[in-house]
Amino acid sequence: MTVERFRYDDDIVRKFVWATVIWGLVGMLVGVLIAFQLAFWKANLGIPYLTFGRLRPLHTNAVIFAFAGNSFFAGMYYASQRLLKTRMFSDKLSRIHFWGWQLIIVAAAITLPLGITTSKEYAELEWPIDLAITAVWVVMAINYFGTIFKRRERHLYVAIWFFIASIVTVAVLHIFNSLELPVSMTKSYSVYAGVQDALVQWWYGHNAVAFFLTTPFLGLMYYFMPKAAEGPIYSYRLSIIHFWSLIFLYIWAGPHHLLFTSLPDWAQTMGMLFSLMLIAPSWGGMINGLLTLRGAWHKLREDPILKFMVVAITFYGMSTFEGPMLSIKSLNKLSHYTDWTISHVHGGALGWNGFLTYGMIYWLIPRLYGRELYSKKLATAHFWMGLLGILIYMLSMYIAGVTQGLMWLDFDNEGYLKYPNFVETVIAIVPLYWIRMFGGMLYLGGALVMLYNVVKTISGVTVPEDTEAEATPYERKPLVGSFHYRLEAKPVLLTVLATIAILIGGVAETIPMMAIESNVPSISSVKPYTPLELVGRDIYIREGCNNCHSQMIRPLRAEVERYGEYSKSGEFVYDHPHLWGSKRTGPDLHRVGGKYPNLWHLRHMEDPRAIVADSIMPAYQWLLENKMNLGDVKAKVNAMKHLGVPYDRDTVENAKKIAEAQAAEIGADLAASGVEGMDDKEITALIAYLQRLGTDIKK
Amino acid sequence: MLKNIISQGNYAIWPQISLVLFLLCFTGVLIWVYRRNAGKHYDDMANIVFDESGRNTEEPHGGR
Repeated sequence: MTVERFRYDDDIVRKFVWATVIWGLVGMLVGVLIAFQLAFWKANLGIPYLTFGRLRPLHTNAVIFAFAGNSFFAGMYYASQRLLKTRMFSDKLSRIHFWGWQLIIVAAAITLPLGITTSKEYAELEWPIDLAITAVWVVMAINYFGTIFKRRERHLYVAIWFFIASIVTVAVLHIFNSLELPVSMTKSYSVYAGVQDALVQWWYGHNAVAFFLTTPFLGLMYYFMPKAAEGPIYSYRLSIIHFWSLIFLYIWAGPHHLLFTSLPDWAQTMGMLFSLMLIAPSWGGMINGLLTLRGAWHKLREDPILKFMVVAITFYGMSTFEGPMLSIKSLNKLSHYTDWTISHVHGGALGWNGFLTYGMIYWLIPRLYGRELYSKKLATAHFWMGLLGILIYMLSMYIAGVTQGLMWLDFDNEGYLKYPNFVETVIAIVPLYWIRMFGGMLYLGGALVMLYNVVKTISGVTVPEDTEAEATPYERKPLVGSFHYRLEAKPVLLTVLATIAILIGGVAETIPMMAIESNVPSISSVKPYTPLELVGRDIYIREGCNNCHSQMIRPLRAEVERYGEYSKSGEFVYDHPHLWGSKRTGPDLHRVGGKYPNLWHLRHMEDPRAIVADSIMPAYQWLLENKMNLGDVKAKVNAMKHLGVPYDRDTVENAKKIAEAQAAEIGADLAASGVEGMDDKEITALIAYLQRLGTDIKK
Repeated sequence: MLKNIISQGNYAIWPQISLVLFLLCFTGVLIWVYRRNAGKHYDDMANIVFDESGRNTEEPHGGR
């Protein structure tokens, strides 16, 4: 039989590994900085580009798309070439993918601190970058499927199914969630509004976790865990059930991010039920990964790579148990908007994604550079530093989360809120923010130890040539066997079935939501924002206020007592995008309109401590100095009109004049209170927006 | 037209219907995957990770 000789493209794997290491450090460093800012507000430095609101999305994007993304690509390029027994389809496309992805990350690192953001969590990048992501993703998909079609191994191993599902699903999620109408090169509005925008956003947001942080890493687990343990996966049968049930179920679970919100009850219940069902496949996968070490547990004592991988899989198991528990409405009532969620996501990101990545990197580096790892002891030190860091981080955030949740919901014997002043619940957890920062620093320190270890490993080494391999050519002959056996040799059919599996949930939830008007009962008194309020809303988005303040009062007694009437879906019909938020570092703002005078807002933004002594909010003094930009207000109003917001012709044509007139009114009110010259400042637009929030139903 | 058809649906029972459907499908796949005569294929596939020589995995496996 003919044997073909060929070489794998190891250079592209090395590139992605280095990108993973570097961006991981950047993402974690920003994480430590914003943790510091929450513990010590002065760390915002009074610089607009470095406030928590602007840096938080940079942290999440850097960790998810730069660190975990590059890790996924490194592992995928290494494993897929070997599993398919072929070099990648095109070296050029591989490099376009690599450099394109890094450019996107750099673009994110520039635009997010500048306040150029859509506000949609994990999808904050503006439309030109969204287009670039789409282009690079298509290039990667062409290259990947091209590799599958030129393969020598007929059957696709389970890791490849997970990679295929990830590539297809991320494309679907990104395209539908990023549908937006551009206003300028740096500004766009989501085509969806209010409840519908929230549903699409969390369909995306939840499944970004699923198909960017879970399924690709399961693919890596199915390849690298057997390699590290030197034994096949515990149960291939289980992996089939794991794959199909996981990709089918995950997509339905998004609404669990919107429990007790204005989302229709049927959608909330569906999200909760499917989240609970997810335990089955998730734990099937965890058991499959852990039991791969059967008969070899003793290796754990000596081998840092196995240590990383086993703990990673354990964190996968813990996170996929905790997630469904947090989706139960009665527990979600306590945990939502608190730091409990922060603890949960960091268990997944630091434990599962981070540790699997580190295990993979320690396994790959000696093979990619042809030299033994410099120090196993340092790798073990990294492991313990990282694990201790995660535990300190998570425990402090659990305590903070439960503390917040209980304090927010607590009533005294007379039936009044026990902690009516929100800042009391902030003061209680600030010490825990310090502890969290220490945990994060420990984890970052471990990553620096790895950098040193890897640099020492490769220093002075001559980079080896691409690995040579040989395999028999692909033979096209009829397959005899069970359905799944034949399916594993048919990438097109497998991709189609996987696509159908992931589409069912999305279609079943979003189409009724979009089509049925009764899902969002209209409220006649709810009117579009004025042009000035729209400008103010964009400033709110630019500063990332939604990263700390929600705009969604849940129908719970404690929330109604604290904030006012619970939020109705009909109140958000003109909100492109919605700004419900997912975390309350500060109080909810949905009913803040009319609650305080204009001067209160001005002083609060200028110096939050002047109003609330123990506030940890940064000062936004530049809002009192920057002139508001009304140059594109007409374009903004016009864009909203195109999206279905009922502005009349007069409002569109005279948007600037109307905005200036309203600004003059607010400016006059501020002047009467002793603050002159605010008519044309950004603060005036922001005040206009804040004073409007939640007031329509009172009319 | 399509909007009208969709609007007729009673979506309150979707969670229950989907739960039952999923459990039925899940049980079906479980039984099918763990049926007796499907063993050798799974062993071969699980070992692809270690196959450095391009071994032929196209021998007949299991029944149709």
